[in-house]
Amino acid sequence: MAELGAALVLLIVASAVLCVLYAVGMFVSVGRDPLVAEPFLSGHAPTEHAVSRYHVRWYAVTLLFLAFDMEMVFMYPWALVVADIGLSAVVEMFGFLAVLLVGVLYAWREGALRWT
Amino acid sequence: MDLSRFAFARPHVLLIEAPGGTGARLALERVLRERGCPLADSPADADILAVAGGPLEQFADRVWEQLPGPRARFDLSDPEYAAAELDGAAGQLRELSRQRADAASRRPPLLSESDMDMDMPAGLQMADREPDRDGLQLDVLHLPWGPALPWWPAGLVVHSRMQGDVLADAQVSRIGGETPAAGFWLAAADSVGPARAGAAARLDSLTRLLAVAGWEAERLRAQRIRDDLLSAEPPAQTHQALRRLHRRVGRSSTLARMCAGVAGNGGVDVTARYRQWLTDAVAAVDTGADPPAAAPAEDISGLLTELLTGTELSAARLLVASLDPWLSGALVSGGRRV
Amino acid sequence: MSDGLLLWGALLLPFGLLLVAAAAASMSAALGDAAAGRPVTGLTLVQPVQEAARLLVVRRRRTVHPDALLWRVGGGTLFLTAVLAAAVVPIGQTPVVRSEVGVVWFNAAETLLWAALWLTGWGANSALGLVGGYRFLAQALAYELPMMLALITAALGAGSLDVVQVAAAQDGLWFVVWMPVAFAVFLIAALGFSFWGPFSHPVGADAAGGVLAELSGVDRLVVLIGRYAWLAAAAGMSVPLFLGGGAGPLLPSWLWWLAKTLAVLALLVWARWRWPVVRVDRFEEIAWVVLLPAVLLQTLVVSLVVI
Repeated sequence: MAELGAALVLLIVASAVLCVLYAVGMFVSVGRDPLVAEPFLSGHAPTEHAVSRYHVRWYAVTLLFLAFDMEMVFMYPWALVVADIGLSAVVEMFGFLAVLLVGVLYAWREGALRWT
Repeated sequence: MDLSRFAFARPHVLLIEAPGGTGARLALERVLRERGCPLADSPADADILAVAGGPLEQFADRVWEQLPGPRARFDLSDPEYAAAELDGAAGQLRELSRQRADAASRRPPLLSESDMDMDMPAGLQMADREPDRDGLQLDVLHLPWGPALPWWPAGLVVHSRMQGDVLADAQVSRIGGETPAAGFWLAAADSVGPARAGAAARLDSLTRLLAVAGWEAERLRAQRIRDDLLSAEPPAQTHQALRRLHRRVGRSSTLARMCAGVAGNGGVDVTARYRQWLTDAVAAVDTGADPPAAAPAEDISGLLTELLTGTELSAARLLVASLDPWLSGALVSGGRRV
Repeated sequence: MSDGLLLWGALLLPFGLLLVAAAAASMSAALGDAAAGRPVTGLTLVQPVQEAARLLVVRRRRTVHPDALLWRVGGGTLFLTAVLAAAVVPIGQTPVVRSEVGVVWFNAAETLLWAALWLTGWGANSALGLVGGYRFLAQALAYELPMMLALITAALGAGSLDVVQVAAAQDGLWFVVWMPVAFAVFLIAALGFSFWGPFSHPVGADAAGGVLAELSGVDRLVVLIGRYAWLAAAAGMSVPLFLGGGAGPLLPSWLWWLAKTLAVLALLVWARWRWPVVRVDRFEEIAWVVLLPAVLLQTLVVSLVVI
């Protein structure tokens, strides 16, 4: 539990640093309240709000990532036991990784990694 | 030490070029580089708004209202006064009591009367949906690019409809004529000779391309060589520096890969264009003659419209930068350099 | 380590991290002045302090109808997570937080950057910020897996997820010698998650500053500090993972750690001035088809060595 205590102290100190910065800013900046300004559009007025459903054309990559990322979580504990278990641990893990990698190559061939 | 003097020793400057402001922009860029003042990407990062070539109608005024403050602005038409104007503006930044008064007097922008409308928060509507290139119904944002935009050809305005970071379509228009920089470069050819002026014109376009491509170090070096070529007595090492730039930028595989295939037009893409500029600049200085530079198309605005449609934002910026010599009129094929 | 020392470490670490971060900013300022053809003087090196003072005087700003809470939370998260990441880095022999899973801890702190950057881009209600925020997510999809594999490779070599043990396992032979690919990938990822230099596409000039486009005053300062702090944390972490930690002759171990950290930091800073920005849409393919298989091969080699 000592680690978590130290981490908590760290978070408090780091947050305090940010608070002090904001406080100093309050005192020395030329205006206390934030300026309300239009978003920068090369000198034009905005015609709509920018927050919108953004077209993420790399959507397919996120799925590929998710598949791999689940696997990676298993690799952390795996790294600790490889030396004890030996070759079978390596074969099993890399066999699985090879399957995933084939998936990556397939996605690549299908053009999922390019979107422009 | 005086806080404001210390804090604003290197003010950030938002430098915008109005049509006909090439000379003023070059002079300002030189002073800012020598003083180590960063060029701001957007008004939020800027302390000083500098419009090279005089007022840019309502565009500069609107950007001016977006500077957070302390703020100062000036329009520069005579390159002679670049350093003096900058000194004056930097002095205004340090007058903190006046800046406080300015801050207190500013009011939020009035976007619409219908502030209370629930469908239009703050008087602005939400993004609407329109079909994209694949026929999907997607949110679309109307984004104008230019004229009050750094690293952008003077007077160029592109109205785009963006879906995600793709320009679904683009409408190109111009403020203040088709080739606003042609006059400046003709005068430069008269004063330092066509070869040096031709090389400097190409390097000037290269600096914008490097800025948009995010290569600050080479952008600064290209600016230095350009400024030296346009000075009355270029330092002895200028020629060597140009060759080094040609080697580093021209042979950079990373830059080439980022620009390859962007805006292909008759087999010429952005990579081919900037490599040609570098080769021509070296050739001009070597031989003392300005190599001819054929325009990629008769109707350069039309070509731009055609190429911009369906490109991703960073590709679009690279594309505009790669057509800069013809958009600005720095290199006009045929008529000028005979 | 006693509890008293632990507390002092926790109190001092954020400030230590700020100092190393300021060193990174100074180095970058020096390289910038050199490129501009200006003499590099003492004034160049205090430029980060100058810039911080400037941003404190500059007024904060917000756009019309922003998501202010998410916007500010995003900005602050950068620095807070950098401090948390640095907590498991052994400064010399001992970290502020000694954890059996320090390597995973570092990874977890880094993952929060996905949210931090995206929120900062989204919150501004500006199209430029939006583009920048999504660029970062695409970039993270590219660097994250190779980075995790690089971390796992170092842990595999030591048979432990404790950063102290990883450093101790390099007695005699630094991991960088037989895991060069993992080291290189870690550095590339460090540039990626610090959105620095070649990987600064999320704050690129072509999008008028992207995530940073609408930020001014303290808000901007906090984001910039967080970014430099992450660069510093990444450099600091690379030392126990690949460069033997605090090992070295004569000098005390913390000094060796600091010297190696500053050397790696200088390399990361230099990269900004050496290469142009790598567009995310072009990097995605390279990351998945080149970096990922390369680092997997590295992991395979290391796992065959340790059995």
